[in-house]
Amino acid sequence: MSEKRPARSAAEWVTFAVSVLILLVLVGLIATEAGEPDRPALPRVVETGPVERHGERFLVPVKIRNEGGATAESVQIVAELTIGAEVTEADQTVEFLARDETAEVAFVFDEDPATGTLDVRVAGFTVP
Amino acid sequence: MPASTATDAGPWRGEATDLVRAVSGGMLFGIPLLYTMEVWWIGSETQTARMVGVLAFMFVPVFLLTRTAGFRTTKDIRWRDAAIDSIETVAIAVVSVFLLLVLLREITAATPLEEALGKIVYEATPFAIGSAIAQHVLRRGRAEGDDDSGESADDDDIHATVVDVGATTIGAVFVAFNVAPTDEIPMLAAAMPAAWLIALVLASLVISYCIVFVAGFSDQEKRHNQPGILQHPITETVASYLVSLCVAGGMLWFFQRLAAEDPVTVTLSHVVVLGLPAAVGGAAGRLAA
Repeated sequence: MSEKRPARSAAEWVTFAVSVLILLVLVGLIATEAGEPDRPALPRVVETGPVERHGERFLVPVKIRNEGGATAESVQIVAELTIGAEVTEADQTVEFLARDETAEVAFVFDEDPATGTLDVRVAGFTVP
Repeated sequence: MPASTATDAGPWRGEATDLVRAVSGGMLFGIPLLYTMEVWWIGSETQTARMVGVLAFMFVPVFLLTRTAGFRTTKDIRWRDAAIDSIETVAIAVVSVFLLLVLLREITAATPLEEALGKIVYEATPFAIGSAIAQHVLRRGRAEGDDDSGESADDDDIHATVVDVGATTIGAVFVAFNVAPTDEIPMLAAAMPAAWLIALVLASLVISYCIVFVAGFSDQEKRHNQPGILQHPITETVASYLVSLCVAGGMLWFFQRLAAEDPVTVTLSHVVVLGLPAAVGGAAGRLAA
């Protein structure tokens, strides 16, 4: 088992060269990311709708994007539908939203949101 | 080209075998953590400075293990050889983990670069450790004991097949049991379109084939001489994969993760997602039998 290792073959040198290249690319990519300025997490609602009707229910897809520089955890999204004097509230949580990441959630209402005003916003998140 | 022995096969073929062995060893040790969402999250929120630290730290266990085991059949007597092999081990881990994370849809085109890098660096650590002991874990050919049964009577064939199925089952349980009850299975399955599931099936087959028929055997003769009724390598790989899928289904049932009212497609996707660790374990099990 403990035979002396023969000299490295050309094939082994190719593996080594490619390996070094891969690690250099990896470290290079990490370095480019390190150059980004440090900003706090800033998850925001970037797109609401269009409303989809499914039978008796109305589905409102909502896109949330973290436009800050850090990760946000447990991002809470609150939707408030006001029709006349009646206010319906719904909330959703996105477990994890990294920098520049976009998540999609959907709210379901019994009434058509078009008949009232719908306000969707990020209520808060945990700083990891 | 006729089948050739390891020595005339040339250095290129031998090198390819070594690399496949490194990936196979990494799979065995790395797969459970690839199926752990906490590791994805830790990777996602890691700062770049820490990533470099993790990458540097990874070399310590890899270097020490390469000195005693490594992924090559030759022994690294000199420090310089061990250092070169360590760099290769880490690079293999980085590439393999990247491909596996893409396969599991944990890295997609929409994943921010920093998050992808963090996931790769953290998942590559256990994978690299597995690669660094690959030679130790995967070298033993299971054919050694069975080869002396010269008169391959039908009884022997059936016995060998039973042993293979048993070994696949035990190996699959060994690796996949600690993944089976976790939420990662439905999570990964939910994010996978049908085409991706097919890719996962193919990847499971290729990985299982590589572990048994490329990484585990250093000489061509032995691998084709295994007795049993399923003994063509492709047949054995497919049959063992089916056994692994059954074991995966059984484990999901055991942990009450399968409900009778679930649609068949959902059940199937869960079984296929758990089937990858099960197939990796099953392949390792057949090597040990």
